[in-house]
Amino acid sequence: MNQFVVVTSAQGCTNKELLQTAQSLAASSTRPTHWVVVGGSFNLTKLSRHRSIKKATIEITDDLSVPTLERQSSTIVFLRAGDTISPDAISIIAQHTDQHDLIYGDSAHGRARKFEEPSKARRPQWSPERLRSHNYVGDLLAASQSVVAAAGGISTLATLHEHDRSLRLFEVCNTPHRIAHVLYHSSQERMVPTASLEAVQQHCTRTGIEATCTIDESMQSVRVKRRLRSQPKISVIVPTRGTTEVLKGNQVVLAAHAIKTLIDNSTYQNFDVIAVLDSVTPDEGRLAIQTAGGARLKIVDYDRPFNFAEKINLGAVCSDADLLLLLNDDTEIITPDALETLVGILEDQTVGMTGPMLLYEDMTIQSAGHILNPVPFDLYRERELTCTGAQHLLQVQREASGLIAACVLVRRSVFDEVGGLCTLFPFNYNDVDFGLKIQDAGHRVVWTPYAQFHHFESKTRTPKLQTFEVATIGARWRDKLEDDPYFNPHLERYIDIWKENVMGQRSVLDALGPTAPIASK
Amino acid sequence: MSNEAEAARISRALDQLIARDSEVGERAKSRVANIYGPTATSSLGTYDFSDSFAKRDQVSRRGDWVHRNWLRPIRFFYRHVPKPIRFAIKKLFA
Repeated sequence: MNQFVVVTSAQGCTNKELLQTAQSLAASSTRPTHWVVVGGSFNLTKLSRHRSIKKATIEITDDLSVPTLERQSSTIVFLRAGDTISPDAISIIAQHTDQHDLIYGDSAHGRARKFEEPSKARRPQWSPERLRSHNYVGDLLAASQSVVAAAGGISTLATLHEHDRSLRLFEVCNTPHRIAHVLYHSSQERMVPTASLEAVQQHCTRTGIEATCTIDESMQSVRVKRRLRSQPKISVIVPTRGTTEVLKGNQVVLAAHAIKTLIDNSTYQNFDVIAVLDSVTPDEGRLAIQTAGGARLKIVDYDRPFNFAEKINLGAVCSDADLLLLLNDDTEIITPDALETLVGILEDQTVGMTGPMLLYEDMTIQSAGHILNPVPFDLYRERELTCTGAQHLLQVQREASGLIAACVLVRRSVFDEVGGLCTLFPFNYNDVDFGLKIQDAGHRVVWTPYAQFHHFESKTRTPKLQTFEVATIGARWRDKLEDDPYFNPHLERYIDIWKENVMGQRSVLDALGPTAPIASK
Repeated sequence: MSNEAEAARISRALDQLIARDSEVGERAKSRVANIYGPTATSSLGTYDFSDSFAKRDQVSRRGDWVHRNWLRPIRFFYRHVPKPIRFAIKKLFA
């Protein structure tokens, strides 16, 4: 039978905190056999004699040679001193230990303010890119004995920074899993993930990632900027019909503007441009595009009824580069090293597609990756750029279920492997389908806030959903739409933000309190 | 390469992409059918989003005002008043 051993580092904690944790273990419906308290100079005998602990028959020890710790069937639960484990957490974890060797879950955190309920940190499924940025998995990790041993053993792991511990454990595990259930309670200060620069640097060394790591102390997020081994050629595919609009007070041909700013401002210059022009493109628009693209430009004519996916596919088959940048004509590069950043992400061979933060002209967010909720949304659309997102979601490089095709860099081999963009989606969802196909083929899709482009799409534009497109996306990906791995089933559905599913934000009735609506009484 | 040959190559490449896409799509469809059953779709016979989709319009109106500090004690008070009074208030607002 699987036995649970809880491990807590007592370094720097108080007696009260340790007692709090002990009492929660005693109140657990499935109790651990041992509680190993590592470090500190506490009188554990005194703690063991506490009425609630004594009654619960949990053996408290600081001895790491307890036979149970060596047993293959044991599950080691790392718990921070002062945190309290949910009464049903261990029994819920026990249901998953057969299939998964490393488990984490959601958490509840103190009271944000007076009169407020505790806030909950809802976590996404396994997201390795994000873990390199910050310890999004939280402070409770349950790992099989073999994983703990491979990661360095209890004595080493227990005293490490939580980010370091998580990285080491996830490096050696095979089947990580998130349980969408509150597994522990902690203070409000622990709501936001922490990060350790040193831990990430060591992780990069261990895993052979050649990168420069920097930390943003205020956001507690580490940026892993990979060094480029080479500068592969990119084909920038710009589908357009030569539209003219006013941008920043100037009348411009959108595609010409996008191409010119990319050529002038990007520090990465190994690219050519393939402009896929509709037959209705006016001559002056065509000329402006030719002038902007110069020698890099190749024009491909498209003379069929509008189909965005088909235009992209046409551009792709007319290129010979290993990397394809799908770029809408209403875009403009913001960060000069955007292409280097995106190419750097693709240095990781497990990443199939990557995309930048897209901003409107007024610097509000246009897209920070997709969430499938179950309607595909651009996360935090129209929010201020200063918005950090739930648990600093917008400040870190991370996996996403999809990216808006207005600007994505994709490996050509991956593009061909999944059959490019699906032409069954002429207007909407071709990018959603594309992202899901890429993940289905075993590649990761990564979004980064460190590369930024403008996307001048009108804020008032409401995409007209075609019934056949919704039907097709549902027929292919209903399971993914209804359970996005990079979201959480307890979050509010049908909205574009990461928000706990509680009442109280939309109406006077909701504001009055968490009671059921009258209709249901 | 002549224009005709290039056009034929492009056409072949596009057909290959479409063929590959439908292969991937069919695999995805059969997975969905295995999970939800071949007829597990909406009343219209195809997948669609529920009416709750309209919620997006509601939240985009930004209801953050309900979190203003002055409202907190009122909410707290409301949550702790006896049930009949709470119901009366609800009915009043409804």
